[in-house]
Amino acid sequence: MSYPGLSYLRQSARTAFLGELLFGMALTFRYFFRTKVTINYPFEKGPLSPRFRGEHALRRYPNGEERCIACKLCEAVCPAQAITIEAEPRDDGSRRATRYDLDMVKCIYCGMCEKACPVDAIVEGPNFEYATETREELYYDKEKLLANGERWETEIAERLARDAPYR
Amino acid sequence: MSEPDFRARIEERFAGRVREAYSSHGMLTLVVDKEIIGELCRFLKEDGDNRFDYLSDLCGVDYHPDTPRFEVVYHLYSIPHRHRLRLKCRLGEDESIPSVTAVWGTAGWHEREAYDMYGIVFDGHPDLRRIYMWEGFEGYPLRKDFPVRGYKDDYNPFGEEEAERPASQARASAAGQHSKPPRFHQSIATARVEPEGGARATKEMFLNLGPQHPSTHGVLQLVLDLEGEIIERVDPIIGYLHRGTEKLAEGFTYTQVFPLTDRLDYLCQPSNNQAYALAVEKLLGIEAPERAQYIRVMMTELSRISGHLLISGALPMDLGALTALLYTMREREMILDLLEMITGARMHTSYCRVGGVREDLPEGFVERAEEFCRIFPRRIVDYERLVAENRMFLKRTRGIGVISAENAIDLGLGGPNLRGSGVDWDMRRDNPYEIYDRLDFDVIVRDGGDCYDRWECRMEEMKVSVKIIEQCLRQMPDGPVKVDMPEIAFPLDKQLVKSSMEALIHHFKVAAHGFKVPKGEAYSSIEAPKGELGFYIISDGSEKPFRVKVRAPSFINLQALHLIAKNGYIADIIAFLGSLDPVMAEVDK
Amino acid sequence: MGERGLGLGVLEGRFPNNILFTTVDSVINWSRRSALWPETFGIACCAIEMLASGCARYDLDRFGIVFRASPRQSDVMVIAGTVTKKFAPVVKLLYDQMTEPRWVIAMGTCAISGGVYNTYAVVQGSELIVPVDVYVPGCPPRPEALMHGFLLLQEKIKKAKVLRRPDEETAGSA
Repeated sequence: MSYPGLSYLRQSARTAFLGELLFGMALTFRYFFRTKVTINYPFEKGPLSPRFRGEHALRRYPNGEERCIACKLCEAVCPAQAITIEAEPRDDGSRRATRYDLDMVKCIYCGMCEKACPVDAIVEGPNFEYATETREELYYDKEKLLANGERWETEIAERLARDAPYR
Repeated sequence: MSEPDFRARIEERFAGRVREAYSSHGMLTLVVDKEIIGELCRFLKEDGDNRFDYLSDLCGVDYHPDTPRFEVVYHLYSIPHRHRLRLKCRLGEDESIPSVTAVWGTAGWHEREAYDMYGIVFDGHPDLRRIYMWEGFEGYPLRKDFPVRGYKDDYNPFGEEEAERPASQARASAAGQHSKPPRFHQSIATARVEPEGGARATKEMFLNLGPQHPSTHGVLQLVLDLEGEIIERVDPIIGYLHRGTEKLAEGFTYTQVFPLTDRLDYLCQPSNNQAYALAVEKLLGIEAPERAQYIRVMMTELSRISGHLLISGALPMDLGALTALLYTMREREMILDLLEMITGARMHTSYCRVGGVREDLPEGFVERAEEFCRIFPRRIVDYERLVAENRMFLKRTRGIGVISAENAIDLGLGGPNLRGSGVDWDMRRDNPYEIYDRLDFDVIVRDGGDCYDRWECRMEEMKVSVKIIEQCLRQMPDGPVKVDMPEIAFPLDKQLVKSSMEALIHHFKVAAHGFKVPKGEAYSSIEAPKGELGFYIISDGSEKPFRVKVRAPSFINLQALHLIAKNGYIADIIAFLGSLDPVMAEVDK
Repeated sequence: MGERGLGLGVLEGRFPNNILFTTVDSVINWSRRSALWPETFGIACCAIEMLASGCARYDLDRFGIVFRASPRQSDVMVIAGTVTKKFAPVVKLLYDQMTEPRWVIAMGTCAISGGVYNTYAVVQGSELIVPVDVYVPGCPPRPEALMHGFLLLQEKIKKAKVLRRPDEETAGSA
């Protein structure tokens, strides 16, 4: 083995005494005594930003009224065509969705629906742990999305507030 | 030579065969008869004043129902003179066109792709087989009369009914109307070449490597023709990850294509987004605001570090040094945290938009990025200590897989693969785009052309990228991050949508229908981490692109394998692959 | 998709649900779920997140999960990435080569349903080829999401009845 740039003596010493191999092992040995970078999932989780795109949710206004007005912009803008909406006038005359199906197995989590929604109804929440054993559970309908919204509303509102200066 | 003189010279030499000559978005385009294409290309390559020695891209376009139906488009580049040229030839459905593989070796796979996707036959091509679809597949997918969801079968129940397949789709000599389903062993059978004379010596054998293999960097199948341990011939079989991105893009609006571009080179997403955004902006004739350009450049450089980190760790891992990967991935996690902070996703960012970027940088980002730039150079020293002088790594990469500079240019390699062979060309310096002309950086070139030189190029490029990021952070001005054109881009302040009627109308129009792009064509490329990543977009004036061609650098880089693997050992194939750094989603689109 | 074996041949599903066999089953299930060895089967982008989950920060080795290259030596197939029609016979071949007990995790949108790629070349869901046990959605799912999927699989294995008869109620349960 030849090491260009080193004198003959140093080359021989390095070859015979495994110079760079020991250097490398010393480096890895030093890491025994340093703080480990491993996080202890499921008790610790990695850092998330307010913009993280996770499980979807349908939000409500503070007075309890659901935000979605079935304008179908999210359905039009979704590249994977994962959203299906049907709309009808409600009893009090306002426009609401009777069917809002979000196919979580088609969704690519690009965030375009969130950007397109004019009333901040559909949002991507911070949850990413919703793996299931059956495929049917991942076809979310309106009730499931609204329930998600209720469960995660505090966090979602906080994230939107933090990100508001940039939206 | 100026453009009018050049045009005059070509028209004089090939009198009567040049149908049209015009300039489209800064690139001279010649429409020529297909019979002279071989002679013209040879002239352009060898002529002293032009020296178009690099074939960037070769693709087909389908103008059905216009006739002649097909068009073959060549994008040429001259490395000594740094200028570009586009050639086009029209041909009908049953016509063929001379191949240019004798002029530029890189045309081999490009022409196979055009044959696979359109059915265009190239005369004189040494090996015209399907490249993405399996043998036995009926139809040519990128033709306009082929449905994007294909025809119904067990694997895709959303396809069109088989009975509605037009007669022109099936090949003339087709036995039966249906596509034969893919069979795995078929691909080995089509790769075999029987030796002349018939009988095979006992030391020769075929070895199938992949497509599931820990070291092939994805779903790549290599059929090796071996004599003992020496490789006589290697045939890469790709297409196992061909998902139909280009066909799908023809049905999406321009903004909806961004998530598709993410999934091309999945290690360096922001660079893909930037390349596509630049191509569409060229067609529209707009430019992103200055702050957006700085952000895009910074994101591309971050992704360059991220991509190089992975391969710098994966190559030693494949050769046996697992520790290197764990260390490089630790730094990569830091970069992914930064990306997630800005865009909301670690990997598929889809952050750029036409006219700028999606959102501004969040608060606290600048401090985190500066901290990263402080820590990272010390960590590179760690990797070098672990790997760069290690005698086993040197034995397995020094002098292995040598590509000469002429071969590298002929094969159309790019990025560290080209600069590792001594060719001093970096698009960031030589054809600057966005704000690269205001930045001060070195271009890393190595002379040897072996696996170690390519690996070392990547390590040094990471240090250069850190310097670029520091300069961007210092020089970045305040200002908008999106062009102020509500008919193209969502407004920066979404609250406007709730208060202004006009903003609401524009928002609805852009979200539901997209925006119209003027009729035309544009080719725009950037220096992506793997090489020259180009997008050739043809617009027919509507909201959806007519043709999107991705000039994928990994697709071209992988072609070099059959050259460098010849007469090497099997064990060295792994080193070749790791040093060429193919990303299979980009190879297969 | 045919019978899904649990790896113990003639001993499977023969014994009553009493305390002895419940305990033996719990030991068998504990040993299986604590040492799930996946196959290195990265296809596309999800493979990079799978790689990241095996590396230093989200260490999968803590759960006993060690990646093996050969299907004969692995228990779990993590389908990470888009399965194309050209690649589908390979997936089936590898699944058939795995020894029982074997499980499949479909990681990512493309593996579960083809995702945004509803095209001529992509299989609309790997369950058209192999039976899937756990679906981990995301594009790509974060490494923590994949680990959550593995934990879900471990829960599923914990509840499995290996030696005991599957249709009988456990003695003593109301």
